[in-house]
Amino acid sequence: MAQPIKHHHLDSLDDPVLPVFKRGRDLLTDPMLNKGTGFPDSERDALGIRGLVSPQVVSIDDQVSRAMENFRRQEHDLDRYIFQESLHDRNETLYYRVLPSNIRELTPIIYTPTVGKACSHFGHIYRRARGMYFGAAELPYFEEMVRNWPEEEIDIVVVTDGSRILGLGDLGANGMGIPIGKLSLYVLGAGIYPYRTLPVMLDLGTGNRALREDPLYLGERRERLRGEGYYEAVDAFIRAVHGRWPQALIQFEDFSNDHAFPPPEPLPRPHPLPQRRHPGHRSCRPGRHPERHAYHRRTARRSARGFPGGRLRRPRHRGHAGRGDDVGRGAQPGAGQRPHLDAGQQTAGHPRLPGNTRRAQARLRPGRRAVDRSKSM
Amino acid sequence: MLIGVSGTAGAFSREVLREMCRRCERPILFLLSNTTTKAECTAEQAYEGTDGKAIFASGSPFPPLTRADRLFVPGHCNNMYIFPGVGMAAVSCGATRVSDRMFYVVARTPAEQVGEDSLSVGRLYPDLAHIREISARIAVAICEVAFEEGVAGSERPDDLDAYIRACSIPTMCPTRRPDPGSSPQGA
Repeated sequence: MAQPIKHHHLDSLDDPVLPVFKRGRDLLTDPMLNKGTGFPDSERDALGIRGLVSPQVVSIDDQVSRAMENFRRQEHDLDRYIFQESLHDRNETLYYRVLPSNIRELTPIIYTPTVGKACSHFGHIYRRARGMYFGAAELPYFEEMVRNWPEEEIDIVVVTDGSRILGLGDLGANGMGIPIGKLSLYVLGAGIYPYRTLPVMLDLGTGNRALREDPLYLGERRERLRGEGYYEAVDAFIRAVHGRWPQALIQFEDFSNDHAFPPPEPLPRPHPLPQRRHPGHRSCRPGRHPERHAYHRRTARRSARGFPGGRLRRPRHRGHAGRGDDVGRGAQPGAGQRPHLDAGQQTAGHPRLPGNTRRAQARLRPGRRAVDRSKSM
Repeated sequence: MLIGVSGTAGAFSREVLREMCRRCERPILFLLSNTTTKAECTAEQAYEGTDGKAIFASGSPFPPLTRADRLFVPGHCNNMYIFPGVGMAAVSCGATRVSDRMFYVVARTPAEQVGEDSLSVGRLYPDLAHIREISARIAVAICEVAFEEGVAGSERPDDLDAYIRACSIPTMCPTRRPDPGSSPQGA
């Protein structure tokens, strides 16, 4: 009989224990691991949290009451959405505890109809990066970008190109609210592990002129990719995701009818797993693709310093969107360029990584997840 | 029966609803245009236009309403009853394809969960509070199809239901324990 594999990091389901690498404030600022005032004394002592939260240990039920009290103080649905999603970005333990006990009140906020309003105003109510963005200008780099995601395992990817959000039409990158909301429902409805979900915006431009002229719009300010270029981008995206997480389910959501129906060509099977090229590989030598060369040199260097797979674990340096980085890449002016892949910049001005080698080595031990995260209800 | 997918608010006017009423006992109105601002009419208009006879469901939920001491609970006809279970099934049995047949098979599952209490207030879809139960049943049904069609990536467990439930997140919040391999103040 097949064994359940989804909770391999938990000791048991009756008395689940989750080993964590993070300590202190790093733990409190990781929404996946944070319990806020709910950390019991034993965990406060063991994880260096004592003094960083108020002394009273608050039960999860009381935390839920407080969250709902604050939620109900909001006057408009859009404010309720902002409140609820801020909780999502702060403390997922609590978020997924609040949802089931107030499901009839909260689903119309995190999902249709309020999520539609939230998408219409996405660039204006934006708080923190969540999920991944793949822009048309970044097309050659999708496979590298997908490695920036910090989780080793993903079960479900929900992707939209924002071309037909609910009945509201083309909302471009503002459509990101939809994959986020859908995945909340996957967790709420079926108990998918939240850290194994990935909301994605495939930002191939927008036909919505008002959005393109909105200074706070977060997407690429260009006309939509059409025809062959469009399918090329979708194909590159699928290959990138499939290459890193061959088991992941990809759900396409809210694509406009002209693109929703022709099925994507099936991937050749078995799909070869992408090999990390050795930095000495001819494709990495200067001359052919200077910018790629820089990229591989950087990843190779990081790899040597103990970052598995040379993934970009500290995207903050580049102002690149990632968890914990409030300055989303799309938020910068001139988002159509590729600031983070500029060759000269990277070889010359790349900051040294902090010499936290013990943690780095701990990450490298065989059979261990890089940063064990999980949360549950 | 009228199914609204036009995205045009106001398309189902009072006259349309009256005409529906004249021709049948219980007009069925499924308004699938999202969001509520795009629905062809509101729940209130539907019940009022049909003297409370309408069997109503919409893609985006309308709040319950009371007319002449009678409670109406508008149905919420949304794929959210289905997709979490489909996802769970695909993930837990490692399905390589999600086939159309899977959707046909599970289309009835939510209906089986609608009790007399729901029907009496005009609700055709189950209470959202039971979503985990609904999803688990859908996941079991879809896994069966996956094993049948040979697209599952794993062996069929003896107790599929228990297996699916074991694949989902525990209801208890896990205790965070320092990983023994990491430094005491590592971060």
